Amino acid sequence: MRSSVIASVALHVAVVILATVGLPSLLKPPAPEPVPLVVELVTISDVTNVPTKPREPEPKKEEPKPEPPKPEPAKPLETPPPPPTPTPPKPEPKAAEAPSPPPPEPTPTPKPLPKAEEPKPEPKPVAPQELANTKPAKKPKAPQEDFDSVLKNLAKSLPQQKAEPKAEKKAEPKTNFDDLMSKAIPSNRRNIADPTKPLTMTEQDAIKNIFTKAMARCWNPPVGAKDAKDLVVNIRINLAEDGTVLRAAVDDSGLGKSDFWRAAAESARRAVLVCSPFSELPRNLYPQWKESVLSFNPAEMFGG
Amino acid sequence: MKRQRQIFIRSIFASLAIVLVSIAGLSVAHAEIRVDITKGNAQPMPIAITDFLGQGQDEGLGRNISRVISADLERSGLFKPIDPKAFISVEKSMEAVPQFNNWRVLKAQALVQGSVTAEGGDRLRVQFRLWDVFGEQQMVGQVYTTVRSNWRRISHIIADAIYKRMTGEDGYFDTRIVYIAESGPETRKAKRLSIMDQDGENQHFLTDGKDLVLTPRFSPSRQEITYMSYYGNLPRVYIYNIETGRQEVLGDFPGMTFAPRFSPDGNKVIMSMARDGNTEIYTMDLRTRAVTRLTNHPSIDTSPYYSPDGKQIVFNSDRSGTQQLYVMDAAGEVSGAPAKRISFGSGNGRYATPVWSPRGDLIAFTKIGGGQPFSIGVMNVDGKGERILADGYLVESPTWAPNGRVIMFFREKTTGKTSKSTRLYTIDLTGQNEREILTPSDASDPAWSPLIP
Repeated sequence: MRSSVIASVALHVAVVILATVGLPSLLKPPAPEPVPLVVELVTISDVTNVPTKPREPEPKKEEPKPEPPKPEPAKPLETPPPPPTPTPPKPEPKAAEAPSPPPPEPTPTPKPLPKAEEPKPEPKPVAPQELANTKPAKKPKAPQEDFDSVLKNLAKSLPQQKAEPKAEKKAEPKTNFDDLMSKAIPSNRRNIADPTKPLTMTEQDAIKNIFTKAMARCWNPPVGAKDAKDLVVNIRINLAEDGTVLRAAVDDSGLGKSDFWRAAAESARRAVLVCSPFSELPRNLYPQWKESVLSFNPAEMFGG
Repeated sequence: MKRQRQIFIRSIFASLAIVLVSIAGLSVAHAEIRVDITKGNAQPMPIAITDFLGQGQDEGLGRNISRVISADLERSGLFKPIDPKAFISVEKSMEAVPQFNNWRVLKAQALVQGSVTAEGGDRLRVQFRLWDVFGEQQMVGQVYTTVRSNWRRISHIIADAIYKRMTGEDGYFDTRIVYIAESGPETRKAKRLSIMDQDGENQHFLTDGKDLVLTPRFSPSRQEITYMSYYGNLPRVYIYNIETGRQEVLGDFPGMTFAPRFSPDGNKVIMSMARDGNTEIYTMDLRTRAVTRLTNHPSIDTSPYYSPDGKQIVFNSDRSGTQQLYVMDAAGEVSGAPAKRISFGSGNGRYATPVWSPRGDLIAFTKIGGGQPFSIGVMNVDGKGERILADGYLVESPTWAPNGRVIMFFREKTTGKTSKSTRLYTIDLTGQNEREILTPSDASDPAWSPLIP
């Protein structure tokens, strides 16, 4: 009897090990396995963090960015048969550059900024600050440590957040957040996204923030539509590594929906296409954002 | 034995727990990034409207059609037509799929192409296509045939089709406005009933100006208006059919100050009259001419207006001491259910001229006092969510566009010591997009038609 119990326990353990270690990579190799705690933090602080804090550091990054949406003199699309119009030649752009995930450091920015190694020269203010900041930072520091400290920091600020999210927003925001940012994205993590590492809160926030800002620019919501609160539309997007939208689809059949809903869904999808490419998205985190869902909710913009 | 079983069960639970945890971990691992987008760009949407293609003499017509469409869409505040000078190259035929790249560069989210061709006699064939530039597909395409003189209407109809497809909401461009045109010296102003297209074109007078005319009201279901004039000293109400030009006297109504308004089905009119020294609300059946009293209150009840479903009536009463808005069942207070006050806005304002939105969700009003001398605003049907859209001395007489997104009103301004000018304006529900409608003379008391059938 005892031996069978032991055997059973051993078997279970084996199954568990398989499930935790083996299965994830079977199902989806690059998908990270976040520490649940982190996820918790993300959801809690997400709302408060995203809109307010990053505003300061981001604008500078923004400035060089507006270029990306440049028209891209795409090849003349094959003109499909003339009169039958509904030809949807999806903007399937050139099959994104080789999806080699680990691009050597210097390349991540499309523009050749060879100086990235030496932050001093910084030719234009344009130079992505992240590069400047993080690079020269203490290289040797183990990412793990950094990460821990982030967690600690977060843990400290967490209680307050819970108690009074509003107050916290204004209270200890900028510096703290900046710290977190630079720590949370340690130098060597910039090289290659380690799929086994979870997305940290700040990384996820940064990605979300990029989407949020882009949509604030590109989305013309159906202002003043009746019952705007019922017009939530989810758009599932697949992105190439350079941030080009490969596919943007409405995550809903739209069956039995109103003309308002159709207009809202189209406006959301258009916004994504108008904003393509999302070249600000950090390439090293590609696996994290290559498939994203944007949930458009016009209710707040309703009626001005 | 017992112990062994305990251990066994415990180990099962333990491993189950671990499996559960790992499953939970798995599902989290596959969570994708989800972003809630609640902020967009409230700027008007860039749209490219190319000149409609036409041969010979129709080339100019094609250009005019696209101008009218452009102007309609622009005035709505939702679209920003791109200056044609910026166009890179314009397709020479409607039959080929456009070079979307050329339009994407201009940030045009939509592209309108069209053509006009002369058909036999006086007839025109007008067609258009609306393209989603970024989605690279046709959103709508239609062909109309009509007589040449109707080209403006066709343009408005196309603008409505584009508006409807892009916003999901019915358009309001193929509509008309009836208003009071005022001319002559301040002391002896001639007031004539006038009609024009919604964009201020096609002005016509409907009356000659010998008699004073007041407060035209459109039927929500027919191209028919009521208005008030004076016969001797008696207010007389007329019904005027715009299509046929036929006019009939509804009757003389002593003690009436505003013309009656139609019920949503157009079969009844509702009005307030002073009888026996007290102003109450009445309806009149247009076929039988039977009059029914709906209120019975010692205060002044006036300005009634039906909800679009015909089940309720909003009106104005001073029963609380000041003029406020009340809602009652269509059967009236006499049926037993008392009217409910809905206006409780800030600043102790008084409220007048309620008009129920055609889509049913809002009531527009003129507010007197409460911060501004006069203002035009909207509130929810239950009185909540009051928003002021326009103010000034003096603004009055709101009337809804048939899609319930835009309100027209008139504004009086002093332009000199004794002179004043009175003009018509539109404002949309955002309160951001106020436009003057150009009229040849002073204008007041606008009434917006339903979509022309």
